[in-house]
Amino acid sequence: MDDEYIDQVLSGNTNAFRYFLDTYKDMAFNLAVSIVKDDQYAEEVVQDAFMKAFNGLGSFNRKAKFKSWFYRIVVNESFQLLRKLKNRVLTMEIVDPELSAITQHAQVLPSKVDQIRIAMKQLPPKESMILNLFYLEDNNLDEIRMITGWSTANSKVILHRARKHLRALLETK
Amino acid sequence: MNNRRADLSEEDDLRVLIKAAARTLDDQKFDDRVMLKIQQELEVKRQIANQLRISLQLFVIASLSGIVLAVVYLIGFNVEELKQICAAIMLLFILLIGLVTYIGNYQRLITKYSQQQKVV
Repeated sequence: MDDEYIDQVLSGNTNAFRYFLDTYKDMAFNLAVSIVKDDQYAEEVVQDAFMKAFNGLGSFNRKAKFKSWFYRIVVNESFQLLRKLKNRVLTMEIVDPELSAITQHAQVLPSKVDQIRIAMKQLPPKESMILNLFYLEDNNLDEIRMITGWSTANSKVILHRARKHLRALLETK
Repeated sequence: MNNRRADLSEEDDLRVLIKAAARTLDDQKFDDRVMLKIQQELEVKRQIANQLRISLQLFVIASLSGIVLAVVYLIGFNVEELKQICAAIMLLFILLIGLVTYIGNYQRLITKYSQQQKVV
């Protein structure tokens, strides 16, 4: 399905790119949020990632899945932004209005979903990212390896650590 | 066996919860914004490509015209005239060097004279 639309875009039908926006924007957003921990920055990252994907579509190697290729762009863009804004993002984490709203709401009604959202924001970027990739997108370790560039063994270790941290965070709530 | 089953159940619960906690990009205009940016970028690329093509065409035309003009001009000359022109250019060049040297010397003389006046 993706290949069809890639061909259309490459043959000059730029509107066919809307398919990729519809299909991947939410997951890309989740992935970016899990790394940069801020909605606005995540939106910027996703926008830039789509622009890069559009510009690089001609050089996309069809042996890999478009999804993996695109998510790799999102991951790279997110970490690049994170490096640029490292200090600012860390400060923002403390005063993130959405997080504090959830926290306040959670004090009244601590639903599991809210707890997960809070915990995901508190986890280190790599860990929340791998949880998103593994549980939300149902990627296997091989796909995660392609998206992140980590070895399978390293991915396993990070996933295990992420689960442990998430459980610990959920238990403290 | 029971532990494994409990682990799997916990895994499933986690999966369900993470899926439930997934966020969506609420901005309705996001798609339009990206598409607009793509269109703008394409437009810029198209303009640059056009300008590049035009400048390349002009460069080729100018080079060809120059070559043609030079050939036509040279064919019209005879060798003696060419020699005379070369000699005239060389003479002009030598005169220029001489003039610069003369002015330099003259400046040096004036400076020396004014210094002597100051001493006196």
